[in-house]
Amino acid sequence: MVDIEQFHREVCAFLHDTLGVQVGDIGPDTELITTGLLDSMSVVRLAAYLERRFQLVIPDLDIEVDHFNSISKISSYLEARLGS
Amino acid sequence: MNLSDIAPPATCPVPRRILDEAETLTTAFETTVQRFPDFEGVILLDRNRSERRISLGELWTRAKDIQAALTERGVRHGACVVLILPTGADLVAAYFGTMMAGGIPAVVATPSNRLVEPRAYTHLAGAILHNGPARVVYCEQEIEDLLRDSEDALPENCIILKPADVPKNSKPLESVKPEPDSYATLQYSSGSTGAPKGVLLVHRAMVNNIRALRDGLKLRNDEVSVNWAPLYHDMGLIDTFLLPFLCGCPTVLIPTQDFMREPALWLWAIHHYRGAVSWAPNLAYALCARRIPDRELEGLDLSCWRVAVSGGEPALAGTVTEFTRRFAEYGFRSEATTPVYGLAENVTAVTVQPVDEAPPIDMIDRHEMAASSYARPVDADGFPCVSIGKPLPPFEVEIRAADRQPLAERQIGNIWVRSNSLFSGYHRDPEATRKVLVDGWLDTEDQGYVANGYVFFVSREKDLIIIGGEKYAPDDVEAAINRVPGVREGCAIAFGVMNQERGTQELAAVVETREQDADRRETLRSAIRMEVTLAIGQPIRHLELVPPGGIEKTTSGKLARRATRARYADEFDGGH
Repeated sequence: MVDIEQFHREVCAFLHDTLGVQVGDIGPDTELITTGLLDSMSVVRLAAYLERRFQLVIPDLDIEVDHFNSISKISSYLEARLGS
Repeated sequence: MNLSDIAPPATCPVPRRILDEAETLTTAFETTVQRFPDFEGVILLDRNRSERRISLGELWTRAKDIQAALTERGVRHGACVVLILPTGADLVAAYFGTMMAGGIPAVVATPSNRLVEPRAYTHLAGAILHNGPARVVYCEQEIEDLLRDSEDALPENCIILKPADVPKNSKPLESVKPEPDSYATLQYSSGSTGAPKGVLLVHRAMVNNIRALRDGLKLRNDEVSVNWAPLYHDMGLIDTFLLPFLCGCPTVLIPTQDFMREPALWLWAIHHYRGAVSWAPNLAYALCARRIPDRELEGLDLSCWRVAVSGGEPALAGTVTEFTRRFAEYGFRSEATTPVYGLAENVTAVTVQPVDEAPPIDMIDRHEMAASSYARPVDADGFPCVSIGKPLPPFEVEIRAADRQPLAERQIGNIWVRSNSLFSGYHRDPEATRKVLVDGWLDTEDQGYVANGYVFFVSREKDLIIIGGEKYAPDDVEAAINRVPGVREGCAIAFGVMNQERGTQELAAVVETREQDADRRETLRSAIRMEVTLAIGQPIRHLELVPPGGIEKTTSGKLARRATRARYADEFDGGH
């Protein structure tokens, strides 16, 4: 099970430290892609980070708005993939 | 495997004169294969650190198999074959296989960027397939499903061929021998979904450009080329694949998506293969300068990197300085930075910064640049313009005024090009061709000036938006915005504004609406952002809602964009 608060902190830290995104107002349901906070390249780098962090492979085809548009969506996607 | 286990690529046996004597891409390929079938000319590397070395003989056999399969499906002289595959052996084999069957290959992007809706992708790909019209599409099952799901993506009589359908070691057919003036490639480099622009290139033009670049970059066949640019892009196909490959350089190709996931992989591949030449858009240099943590770079040695080409979008002074400063401690030399300027209409490159010197940066007066189109040098607080070098011999460049009269030094005007590698025209669009090809000269519709023998790029007259080397038509962005209820029909203007920090352009839009309620305006903004992201794959970074009359109305979309852009440029902090 992914602890959503802990996960939220980790993802925000990555977005800020590596991608330079201003993360002040990002909540679990903030739309990351459709609001323009993340462009396609940033989403792909976030996916690469999650692959390393959770030791799984995220296929190119899974990197889409439905899975990555908010921190809670990402967390649901990961839970489904990690089988918990 | 670990990257540190990489063995040095084999020393190249391919002599220079093969390319000097060849008049077509196919002759150059065939002669090289016949003489050096065992040379492993192409090396594929991915983010799982798996490496595949492909010999010329292997590539040839696959190309012959694809040629046979295409011929069997009716591909004859001049038929358009659209290749939609990721970077890999099958794509490069199919590129040559199509020419050997007499067809004209057009490489089109895969939908790897899934932020775009499938229907937006098939709309774009479908427009190209119909423009061809494609006789055969060579792609994987996933693309076939997408194309078949869409009602009208596939033109009549178009056949889909998949790599798995091509039998191995089929009975080889005689290769069609193209003439130097036969069409070699159809490059869909720009244009909107409504009007795709297919740039027609003949063999002679492509071979001439590749030779000019080889000599301009002083490329030797013992130098390794390492790249990740997508091969559907002119820079990817010609500069990062055909150029090193036909010069006999070991050619390392990394899938674009793998670079995007792990940018440091690019630099480490250069380190381990001792890469001497690599091409990338300014955005990639900005990203490496700012967004790779130090811990990912420990032990990196880039002293082998002789030519770091910046192409596909303008090299920014800030990026050049930052990249050089950060990577100096990893052995990167400032004179390696090599901005190039080019366009598909001249195959690729037109001008190149001389390879053994750092590019000059010209500080010019911002006010005079805008007001009187004169690039007056200033000491401080000017706009820093990075040189795009000098025309590659034998190409010529002239800066001309709107009335096509040549301009004097430092006067800003359109960059015109005369060369032996000009395109033959836009596919099935003689009117667009006549507009830019005049008396043997090409109007690039880009603006620049010449100072002290160097050419400087200032801005783009055509209103394409270029983000990380990828081109987006404002018409497509505007069409997406116009689909959103609440937007005044036909009253949206989209353009690019430069973000100096990211090192590339961002999308901006000014949209008219009658909506005044604050909540409903916020909902409208979200809906516009959503629609554009799904249609284009890029977010709108700057969105301005204005009341009716807020955008300029003129008879031409181009003028309306320019006027609106000028009016809102300061608010969007775009500057340039």
